[in-house]
Amino acid sequence: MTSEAPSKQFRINWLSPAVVVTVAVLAVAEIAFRVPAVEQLLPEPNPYYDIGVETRLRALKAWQPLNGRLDVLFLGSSVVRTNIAPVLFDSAVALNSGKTITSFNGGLSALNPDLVGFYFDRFWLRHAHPRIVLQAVRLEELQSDVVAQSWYRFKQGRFERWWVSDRLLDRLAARLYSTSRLLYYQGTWSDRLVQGWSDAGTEHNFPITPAGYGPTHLTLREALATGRLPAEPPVYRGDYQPDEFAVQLAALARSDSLARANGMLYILVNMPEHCARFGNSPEGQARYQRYLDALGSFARSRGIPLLDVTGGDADAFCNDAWFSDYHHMSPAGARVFTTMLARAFAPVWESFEGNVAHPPATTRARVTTSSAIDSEAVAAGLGALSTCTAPGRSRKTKSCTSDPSGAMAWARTPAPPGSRSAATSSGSSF
Amino acid sequence: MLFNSLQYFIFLPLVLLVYYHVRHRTQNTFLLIASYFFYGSWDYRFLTLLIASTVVDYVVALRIAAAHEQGNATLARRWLMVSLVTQLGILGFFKYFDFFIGSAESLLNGLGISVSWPLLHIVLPVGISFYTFQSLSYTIDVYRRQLEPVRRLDDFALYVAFFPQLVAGPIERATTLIPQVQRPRIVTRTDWDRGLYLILVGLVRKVVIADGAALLVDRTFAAPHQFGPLQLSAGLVAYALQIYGDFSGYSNIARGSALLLGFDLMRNFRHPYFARNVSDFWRRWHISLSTWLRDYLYIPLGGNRKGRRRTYINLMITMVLGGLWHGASWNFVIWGTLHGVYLVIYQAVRRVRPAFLKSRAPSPSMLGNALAIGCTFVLSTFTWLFFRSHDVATTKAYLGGLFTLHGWLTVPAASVSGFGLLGVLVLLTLIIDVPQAITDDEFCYLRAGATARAFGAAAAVLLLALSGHTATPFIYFQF
Repeated sequence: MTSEAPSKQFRINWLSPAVVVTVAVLAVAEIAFRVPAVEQLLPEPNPYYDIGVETRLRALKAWQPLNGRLDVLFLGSSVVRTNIAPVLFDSAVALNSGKTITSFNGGLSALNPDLVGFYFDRFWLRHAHPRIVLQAVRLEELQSDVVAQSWYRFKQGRFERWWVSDRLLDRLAARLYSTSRLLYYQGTWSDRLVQGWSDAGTEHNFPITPAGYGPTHLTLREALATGRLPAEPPVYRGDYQPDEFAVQLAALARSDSLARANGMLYILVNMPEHCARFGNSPEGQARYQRYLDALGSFARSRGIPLLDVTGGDADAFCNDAWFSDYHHMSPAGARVFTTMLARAFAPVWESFEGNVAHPPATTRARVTTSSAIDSEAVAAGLGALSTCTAPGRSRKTKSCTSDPSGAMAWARTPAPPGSRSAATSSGSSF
Repeated sequence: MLFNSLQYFIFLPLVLLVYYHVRHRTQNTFLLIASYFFYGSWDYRFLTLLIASTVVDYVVALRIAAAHEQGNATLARRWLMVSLVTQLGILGFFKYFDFFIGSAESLLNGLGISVSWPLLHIVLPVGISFYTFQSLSYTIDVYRRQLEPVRRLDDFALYVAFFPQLVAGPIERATTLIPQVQRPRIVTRTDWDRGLYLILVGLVRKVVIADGAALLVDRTFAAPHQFGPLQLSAGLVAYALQIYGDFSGYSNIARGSALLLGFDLMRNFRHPYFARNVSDFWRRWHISLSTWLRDYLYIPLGGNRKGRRRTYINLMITMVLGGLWHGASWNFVIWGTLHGVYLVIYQAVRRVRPAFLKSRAPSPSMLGNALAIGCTFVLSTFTWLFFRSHDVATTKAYLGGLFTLHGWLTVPAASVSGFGLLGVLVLLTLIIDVPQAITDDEFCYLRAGATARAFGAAAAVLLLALSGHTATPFIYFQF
């Protein structure tokens, strides 16, 4: 055909063998990928930047038929993955409260609260319907200056990039990729083959238990002895004034709103770190206290229960055998922390059990999570209320190996928003 | 808008839809608008640069032709200089300003003269190296009286901005592309078959092979000290596959898209890793650039007509500048210099032992052929190290790990699957290239029966559907 006289030559023959065979092959592959038996044989697809997301999704799908309802979903970064053992938590809560509970660990690597919120909104709410969301944070994650790096990593994922895009094509692509199994599996084969080539992206080196717990078997001493960690611990040195945490506290506020909108109870957990991070010094204690004050004020302002097993003591977790680095715990440390957390949680569970309706599986409310800072929600809480104080412990000047006593485990249950907390403490010790 | 993106596969059918329903002159105008839209989708600000560059050479060519008509060679030469200064000035400013300032500063500081000049940190406009060279070839050809100047500005603008080859070539010659712009185009059924075939093969090269190889390459070059010599060698082979798949894939999609529009662009790659020597390699790799450098740099410098010594100097100048064309960085200069050295050595050996080579070149044994191909592949692949490595520390670590006697037989068990990935990618490259090389027909697969073609197409589409995470940019876009 010439351009002067368009003719029939250019009509594509949709019944040509090439088109028919191609469509047939793609259809067969699409159907095959949906067969559960075939799916089990295939490696986890990886449309997310963190390959651990898919590992957790697969674990959750296997967990749900066996356990039924999900009472507690743990959210947070890799410290949640390594430091909280759900099965132990369930039994410890049952022991302390007399009421059964089921929990699942949704900790994902290298996320700050802002990104945890995104995964909560776009991933976990699609697949899990917990009664309670328990999000753990630590000082470093609340700092605003880690935002850029985390966002860079976050946006390397296919789905994550689309989540934060308003473009029609991106939204269309997200829909296409989450609907079609062929597209969902895109890139899986080559990614799986390249795993193990280097240390990069070794999430699969940390297998998770059926309930999502991902223990690290290295101890801090081994890590230091083999040079995997620098000899000098990364000591916190900032001033940590409340403004420092505004961005990430706003993200926590969005997650809280999202949980409430979906009929879930939202609880915050202060994740303990190795005391060396605070330098075993009064200045370190003061820094830790400022962080806890900011977190406590925020929690009270929104009526969020805050669980802190350190009792406000930066030196509460000094046992090297409990850690694999300065914030990820070894299985021994995870056992200690999980047990303490369960004790702190048990009264909350007792009080809320039966009052929280299980959210329907098919519907879920949404709150806007794309805005950078929900400043109003934060501003209302920051410094408005006094922080609860834990009974002080004697200061340690060097690492110790003794376990914290049960009396250190605290549940900081704040007063409702708008009210002032008691001058001394709004927590309850046991 | 990347060729391997969803946007492009919405853009191209829309362009075709309109293009097939309008007449020749409207087609050209429409293609020009589409090309500017395509280019502007990266950064609309640089459209002004593209248009300015186009207008300058359009006017200059007309002036050169007028000077020729007047018999005024000096004036014609002056107008040519205007074109050269403008195009190379644009290229030099946007691409090399910071490089030369930074290098001069380092040199002077090294000599004890303390200077500190501000760098401009200029953003490199996409495809600037390609369209400036393409535009230059036009004014030079007009100056050489090999081409009549284009009278219509829109035709010339389309020649410069034709979207399939605008951002990464092939660097099309005015003598071949402008006549296609000016004449009504005929698109046959064969063009359609070939165009779709080229697009499909190009996508497989890019999305499956190049992006798959990049997984190995990125990890290896990120921390070369972590790897033993075997993994480092595999990383280099993977890069050889990546850059070949990436660039030849782009060229294939460009040529395929152009064929659907009735344009026949030049072939840019002829299975270069089957080259039997370095000279042969450069006849097969990035053909549009190597022939451009030959015709507009090497031959004007004197080529091989001014004695052996001058030939070697000309070769070195051409290859060093060819390296520098790729990017304002010393690693590209080293890469080009090494290829220059290989070519000089090859030419010298050929002169010293012509009988030896002559007796073997036309019909070497299978073993001799394999040996020659193997040696050339090893040499070119080793040289890619300098192309890929962007800092001295990485290069040193890579070379240190590669040239060691220890660890050649040790491979971490976890990395075996990585070698499996490399094997799959090598196999796919061979599946595409070997039949082409044997039959010397790029479209040999189209000669297969309808059923075989159908299953081949289905397999390619299935591979594409299962490969790659997202549209990753082509490597040559940065040049």
